[in-house]
Amino acid sequence: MEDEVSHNQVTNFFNDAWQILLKDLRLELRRKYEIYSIIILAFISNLSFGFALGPSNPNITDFISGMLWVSILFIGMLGFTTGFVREMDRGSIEGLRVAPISPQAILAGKTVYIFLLMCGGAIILIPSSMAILNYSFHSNGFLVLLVVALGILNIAVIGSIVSALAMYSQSRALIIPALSMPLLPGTIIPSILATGKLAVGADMNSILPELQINLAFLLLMIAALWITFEYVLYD
Amino acid sequence: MNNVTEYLVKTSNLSKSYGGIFAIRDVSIEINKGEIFGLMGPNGAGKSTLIRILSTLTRSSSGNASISNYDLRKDQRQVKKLIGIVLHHNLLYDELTAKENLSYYLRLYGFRNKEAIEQIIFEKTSQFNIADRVDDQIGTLSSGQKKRFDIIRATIHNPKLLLLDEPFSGLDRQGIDQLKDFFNSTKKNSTILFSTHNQQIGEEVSDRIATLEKGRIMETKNLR
Repeated sequence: MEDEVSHNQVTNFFNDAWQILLKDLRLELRRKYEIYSIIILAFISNLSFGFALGPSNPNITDFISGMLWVSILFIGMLGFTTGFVREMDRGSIEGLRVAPISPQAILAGKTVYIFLLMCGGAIILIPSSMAILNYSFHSNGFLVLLVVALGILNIAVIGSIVSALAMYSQSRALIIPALSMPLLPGTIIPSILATGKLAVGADMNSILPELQINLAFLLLMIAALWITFEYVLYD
Repeated sequence: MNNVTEYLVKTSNLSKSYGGIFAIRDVSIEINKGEIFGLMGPNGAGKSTLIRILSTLTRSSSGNASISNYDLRKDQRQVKKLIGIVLHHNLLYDELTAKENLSYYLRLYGFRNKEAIEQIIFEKTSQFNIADRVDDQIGTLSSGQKKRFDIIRATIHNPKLLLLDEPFSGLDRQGIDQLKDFFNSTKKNSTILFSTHNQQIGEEVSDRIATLEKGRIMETKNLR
């Protein structure tokens, strides 16, 4: 009987998170504001760095990881505001708060949504930067995918909580970057280091320490959020 | 004799203060099952605060409240299953169709079967004569139509207690009459607690009213 109850709770958790994610994706596809902003940002960023560094710059591998992650971070900032802040602005956050669902399911749905939005940005950003700046990752495609996905997931988790904390504030334009600032280096620095290594042809063993740091950071963030998110949402 | 289930809503000395200023103060009410209970009073009297506390959206500063014997602070998940709420603003998404909105909320309340969901949406929207607008995006509807869809959203899971904050505002005469009919048909299964600053409508619709002033209940009156 207890197993059945906990199984139902798990099923409900995933179903509720899925419904919230599905709704957010549907809203995004109908509005397309963030999608267009991300595409524009990715191209402007690539063009700016392309003009600054010049095509076929022999030192491109020294800059590329920093350049990519700065752009990914800005794409993330666009996504942060669509998480909880948009629900707050339209008043629909109260529909979520009165629904008999776990606050963690809301967090999970919103985090995956920001993650997918950022992944969409990275899918545009990375290949176009490779084409404009004329560099490659030396057949390390899978490892690049792994590093980028883990880094983006960490940023999405940070974005969700920061967005949730800022949604009740009038000065959220200041609060979102200010609260993100001390948290983001924990994942941005290892992500930049690992991407830089992959750009010069490093293998899995070389980037393992950075992957481990990012994974540990992710688990710590999720654990902290799991415990505190209910108070963030309702108090 | 055990009479603990006599009231659906029971509050005792419920207060909410913001920085020392009381929005409601020592509010004690009991609402029977199947009753239509109107909260009357001018703007700023505390009607919305009381509704928000009973809906779990706002926490009280002191006092106790229960719905169907579930404590509002301790049993929030249970309470949420029992209530539906209509606020000043609608809780629908402009970019989604009415059907997508209603289906989304039904699924959050645990409904899974697609055919059953479609059937519920058809029945509820037919009751409000707007079944033909379910495929329209909410953003394209008039404010009165949005209000009706929002009321359907709040009642779609058949709540035991329906909380409505100023439900008659923004409705034309036809909408008001439909809402009155809806109240009367709903009271068989649900208890209704609503607020209004319109004395005439409040007295037409309610079984009992309470008048709030400066956060305190000044008077309760039986009308039926």
